Amino acid sequence: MIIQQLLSGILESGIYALFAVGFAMIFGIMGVLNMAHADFGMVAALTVVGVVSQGYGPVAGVALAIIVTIGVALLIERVAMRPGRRFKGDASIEMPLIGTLGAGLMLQNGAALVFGNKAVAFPIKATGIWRVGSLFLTQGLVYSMAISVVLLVVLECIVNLTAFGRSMRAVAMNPTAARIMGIDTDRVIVGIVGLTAFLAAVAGFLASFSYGLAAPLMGIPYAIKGLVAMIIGGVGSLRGAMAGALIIGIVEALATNYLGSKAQDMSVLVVLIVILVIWPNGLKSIFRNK
Amino acid sequence: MNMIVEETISAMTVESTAQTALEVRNLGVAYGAVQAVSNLDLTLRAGEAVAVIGSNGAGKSSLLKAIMGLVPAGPSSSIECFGTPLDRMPAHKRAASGIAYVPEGRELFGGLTVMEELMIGARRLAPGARAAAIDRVLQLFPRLGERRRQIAGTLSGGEQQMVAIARTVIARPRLLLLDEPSLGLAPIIQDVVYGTLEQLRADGLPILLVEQNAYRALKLCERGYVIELGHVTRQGASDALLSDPSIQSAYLGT
Repeated sequence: MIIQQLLSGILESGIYALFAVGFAMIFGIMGVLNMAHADFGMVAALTVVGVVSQGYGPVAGVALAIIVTIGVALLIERVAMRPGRRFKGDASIEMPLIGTLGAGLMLQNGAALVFGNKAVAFPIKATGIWRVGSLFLTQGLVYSMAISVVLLVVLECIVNLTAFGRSMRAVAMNPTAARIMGIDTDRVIVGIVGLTAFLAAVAGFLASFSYGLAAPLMGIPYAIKGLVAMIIGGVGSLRGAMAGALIIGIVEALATNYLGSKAQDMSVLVVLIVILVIWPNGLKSIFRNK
Repeated sequence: MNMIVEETISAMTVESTAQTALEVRNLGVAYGAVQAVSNLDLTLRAGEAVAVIGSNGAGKSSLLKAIMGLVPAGPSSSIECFGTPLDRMPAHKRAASGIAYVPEGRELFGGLTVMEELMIGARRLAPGARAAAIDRVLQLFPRLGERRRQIAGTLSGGEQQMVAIARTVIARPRLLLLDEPSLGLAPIIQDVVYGTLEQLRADGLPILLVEQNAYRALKLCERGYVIELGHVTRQGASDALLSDPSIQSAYLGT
C-alpha cells in the first residue's frame, strides 16, 4: 500500500516539476513571480478541448494549443510584466505580481465564460491502469513522468550547454553586465517566457491526459504546488525546483497513506515550513546554483 | 616636385582617414536633482588613447555610463561613435556596435566560468572564428588560460579585472572604455593590466581611460582631460598635464 502510494506520488511529481521549473526560470531571470503561469496549462488543455470539439484531430489541437498558449504568455509578458521593469524598487516587483495575478484571473474567468465553470472531458486520455505485480500504475501518470523527465533533461541541456542558455544565465546573474556585453535582455526574457509557457502547456496536457478532464480552475492547485516546489528547492534554482517537486509528490503520497487524503494539501505546506526552517535558502544550497 | 605632391596627397588622405572614434558634445547627466555632468565636450580620435582624470564624484564614471547608454544623457547632449549617433540606442546595441566597456567593479556574471565569460564576449563572432579569438585573448592574459574552468567570481581581484577586459576585447571592439581598471589591485597586478592596455593601444584600439591613478593613466595615454564637478577644467597632451604644477599637486601627490 505504501509503495503503491509512493509510486503514484513520484509519478505525479513530473507534472509538478514542469510547473515548478517554469516558476523558477521566470523568477530567476526577472526576480518576479508569474502568477498566471499555471493557468497557461489550463489554457493549453482547454484549447485542445475547443479545437477537437470543432472537429479537428487531437494532434492539430495540441499543436494549436501550444501556439495559443505561447501567444497568450508573450502577450501577458508584454502588458503585465515588462512595464514593471521601468520602475525602481518594490514597484518593479509588485507591478508584475499584481499584473500576472489579474491576468490569471482573466484567463480563468474567460475560460469559464467559454467552457462553463466545470470540468469538461479531455479528448485524449490515458486513464487506464497497468498492473505490475501487486502495483497499479495510472497510464497517464507513467507517460507524464516519462515526458517530464525527457523535457527536464532537454531543459538542463539548453540551460547549461547552449548559447541561449548561457545568455539566460548571464541575464539572471547580472542584467547590467549582460547589457554591456551586448545581450538584449528583453529578447532573452521573451525567449524564457515562451519556453516556460511551452512547459506549462505540456504540463497542462499531461494533467488532463492523466485524469481525463480539463477545467478553468485546474491551474490553481498546480500553481500552489509549483510555487511551493520552487521555494523548497531554493528560489530560482532549476534543479532545486525539480527536487522540490519530487518531495511534494512523495509527501502527498505519505500524507494520504497515513493521514487520509484530506491531509494531502496541508502536508505540502507543512513540509515547506519544515524545509525552510532547516535550509532557509531551500535545497539549492545542496546543489550548485543553477 | 612630384614627391612633394605625393606627400601632400598622402598627408591629406591621412587627415581624412584620421576619423573621430568618439565625439561627445554638450553632455549632461543628472540623477534627479543632482547634476553629475554638464556641458562636457570630449573627442577621441581613431587609434588614440585618452585619459580622464579627476577626484571621486567628479563625474568620470557617469561620463562612461552615458556613452554606454546605462544612464540617460541630457536632452541637448550628443554622442557619436565613428560618426554614428548613439542617442536613443539601448546599451546592448551600443555594445553590439563595437563599444567595449569595462565598468568599475568589473561586473562579472558571478556564476559563470572564465571560459563562459569569454564565450559570452565571443558570441557575436562567426562560429569558426571564436576559438581563435579565445586563444588570442588567452595569449594576452596567459593566467586566465590556467583558470578557464574556474568560476570567474572566485578569482582574485586582478584576475577578475583580466576577465572583464578579456571578455570585452575578444570580439575586436572599435572603442574601449575603461573605468578605474587599477582600482584595488596590487601594483604588480596593475603592471600586468596596464601592460595589456599598452598592447591594445599599440594595436590601434582607441581607448578612453577613466582613472584616479592619474600618473599611470597619463603615462599610457597621449592626451588627458581633467574633470571637476562634472566639467572639463583642463585638457591637453599628457606630458603637459604631467608637468603642470597645479595638476601635480591636485592629482599626482607631489
